[in-house]
Amino acid sequence: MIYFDNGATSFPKPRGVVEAVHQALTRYGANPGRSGHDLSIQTSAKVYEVREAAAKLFGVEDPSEVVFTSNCTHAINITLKGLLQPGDHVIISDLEHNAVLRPIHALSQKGVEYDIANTYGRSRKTLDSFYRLIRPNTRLIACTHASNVFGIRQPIEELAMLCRDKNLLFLVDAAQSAGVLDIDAPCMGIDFLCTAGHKGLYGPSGTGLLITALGSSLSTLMEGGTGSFSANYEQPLDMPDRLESGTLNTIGILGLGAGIRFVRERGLAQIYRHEMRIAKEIFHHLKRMPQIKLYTPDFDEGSHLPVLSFNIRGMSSEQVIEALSRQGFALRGGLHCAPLAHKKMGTLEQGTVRISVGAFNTREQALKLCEAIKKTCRSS
Amino acid sequence: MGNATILISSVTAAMRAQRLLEQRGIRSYIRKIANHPKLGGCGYGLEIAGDLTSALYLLQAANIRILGIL
Repeated sequence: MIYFDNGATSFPKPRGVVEAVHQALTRYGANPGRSGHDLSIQTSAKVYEVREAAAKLFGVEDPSEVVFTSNCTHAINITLKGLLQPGDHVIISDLEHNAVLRPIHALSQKGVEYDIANTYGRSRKTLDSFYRLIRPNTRLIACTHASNVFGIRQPIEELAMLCRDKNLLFLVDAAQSAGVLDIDAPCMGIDFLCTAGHKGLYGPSGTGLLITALGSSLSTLMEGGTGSFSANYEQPLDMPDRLESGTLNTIGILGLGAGIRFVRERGLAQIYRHEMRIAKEIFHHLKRMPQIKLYTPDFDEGSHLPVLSFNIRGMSSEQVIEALSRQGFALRGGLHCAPLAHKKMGTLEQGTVRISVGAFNTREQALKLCEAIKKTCRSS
Repeated sequence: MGNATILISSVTAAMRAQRLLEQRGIRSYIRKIANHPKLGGCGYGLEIAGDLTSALYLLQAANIRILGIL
C-alpha cells in the first residue's frame, strides 16, 4: 500500500519513534510525576525531555508552557471552553475543521457569539475580512494555519498583528502545519498553539500539544490527580498540571519526542521543500487530465501546504478512493471533517479526494499515483 | 546534617529547576515529598548538593515557585 493520507495521520513512523515506544513499554513503565522511586523519576525525566523538545521546536523558553493532550481537537477544546464566557465574541475562518467549528458552535448555545470570516489565502483581503468582523466584545480569533482539505495557508503572522493591535487573543490550529512550517509561537504572537502529535510531528496516535503561556488563566475542562497540591480540593494553577489531570500517555509522549527529533534532524525547510515538490508534481499532472477537477488555480510554496484535493467528474469521492485503494493507494475521501471548507468550495455534496504528502513519500510513488488516477479516470 | 531540600510544586517544575541548576554547576536530586503542609499535600523537592543560597537565587530569578525549604 502506498500511503498518501498523512493529513489524517502520518505513516510510516520513523524508526526512532518505534524504538521510543518500545522503550516506553519495556524500560520507562512507571507513572511520571506521581511516585518517588527511581523508575518514576527516570520516566518523569524522559517526559520532561519531550516537553523541552516541543518547547524548543515552537520557540518557547519555559517547557511548563507545553501541555500534552490527546490530539489537536483536545487542545482546541481546552482553550475554547476554558477561555470563552457567555457574551464573548469569536471570529473563525471559513476553512476551519470541525475541531474548531463544533466547540465554537456548542459554546454559541451557551451565549458565546461567533462570526465566520471569508478568506482569500495569505492576502490583505483575508485580513480585511477578519478586521471588519471585530466587535467591542470580540475576545479571540481562532484560525487554522492551513486548510486540512485544500492546503491553503492563512496569513497567520498578519492576523497575529491584528490581534495585538486590537487586544484580542489568538488561537492557531496547527494540526497540518506543525512539523512542516517553522512556527515560533511567542515571536509570531500566537497565544494558543494547538496541534496534533501524530501528523507532521510523526508521534503515535493519541498525542497532541497545546502551547500557551496563559494556561493558568484558563478554566479547566477536566480536573483530577496531578501529583501536586494533592490535599487541595481545587485544581492547581501551576502549569502544566492545571491542564494535565490524570496519568499521562507516557508511551505516546516518548514516541512523540522521537518524532520531534526526527523533524529537527531532517529540518523543517527540507521537509516542506520535499513534500511540496511531490505535491506540486501531482498537481501539475492532475491539471493535464481533463476529467479531473482541482480547486485552486495554482499550488505553490508560500501559499500552500502539501495537501491537495480533487475530484473525478462523474464519480463520487468515495468511489475514487475505493478504486485507488484497489490499486494499492491510501487516500481519503469525503468531507474531511471540514464542512465549512467544502461549503466555500462548492464540494459539500460530493466531498473531495485528498492527497496529503509526508516525509517518506517519494517522486516515484507520486508518479505511480498519477498513473492510477489516470487509469481510474479512464474506467469512470 | 543532610542537604537542604527546596520544596517545589510539581515534577515538571522540579525537572526545570534541576536542569537550570545543572547548567550553573549545582547538582541536585529530585525527591518525592509525601503530604507536606507547605506543598498542600504531595509534591516534589530538590535536594541541593551545593550552595543553597545560589540555588535559591537562580530559581527565583527563573520564576520557579519555591514553596519552602526542608
